[in-house]
Amino acid sequence: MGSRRGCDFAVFTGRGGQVTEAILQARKTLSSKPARIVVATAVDVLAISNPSIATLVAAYKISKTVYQVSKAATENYEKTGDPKKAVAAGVKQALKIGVSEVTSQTVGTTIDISWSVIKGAAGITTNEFQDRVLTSAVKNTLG
Amino acid sequence: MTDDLENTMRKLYRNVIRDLLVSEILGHKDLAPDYFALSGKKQDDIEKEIDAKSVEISDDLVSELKQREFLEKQPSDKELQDLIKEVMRRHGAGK
Repeated sequence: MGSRRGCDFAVFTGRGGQVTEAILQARKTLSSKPARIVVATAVDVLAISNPSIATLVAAYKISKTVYQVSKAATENYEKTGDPKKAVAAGVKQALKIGVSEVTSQTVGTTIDISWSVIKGAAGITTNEFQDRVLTSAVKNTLG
Repeated sequence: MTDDLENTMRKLYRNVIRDLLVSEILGHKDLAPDYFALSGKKQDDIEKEIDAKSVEISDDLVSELKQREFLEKQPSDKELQDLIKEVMRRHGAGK
């Protein structure tokens, strides 16, 4: 998991008293409690962190949009039989993304290029941290 | 249609929740040093538990969304926030 250290979760969640208290609780469990309790305590932090809840609300909207987009791209692929054309059409129209027949790298590139349009279609506004979490999740979901 | 959407949503939530939990533990300046001071086995246990918990929460959340017909309908942000908080609390240590 070491490669995922890059973000600063404290900046993302802010310094609200309740969140700070929950982080302190999570810290206490890290070395002394079993993994089950450590992770459940980490879930408690997410449950009271407004930016985390906002990210999960955005994920709902993104998944609906991505579903529509990937459905359209799959239909495009079924017509043309060419994954590259399907992806190219997806990028060109910004709302058609190939799913199972393209490489994960191509899906990733398409998501990167189309991300602002997908966000616009989903009607969400996100910050840099949320963009990273959501694009990574979309790539893993489709890839 | 809803089955495919349900699967897409389940997978996406699994990935988002896992990434949020990983970011919290490894990306928080107060937690990361303690995490990396743990034994390799404990780190592995936590990573496995994060994976399992992400599946558990996303399955529960999408089931609730389905039950409330939120896959077809468009709930308000407030309705979504309340449901997500409720499900997250259910899987937390505080319960």
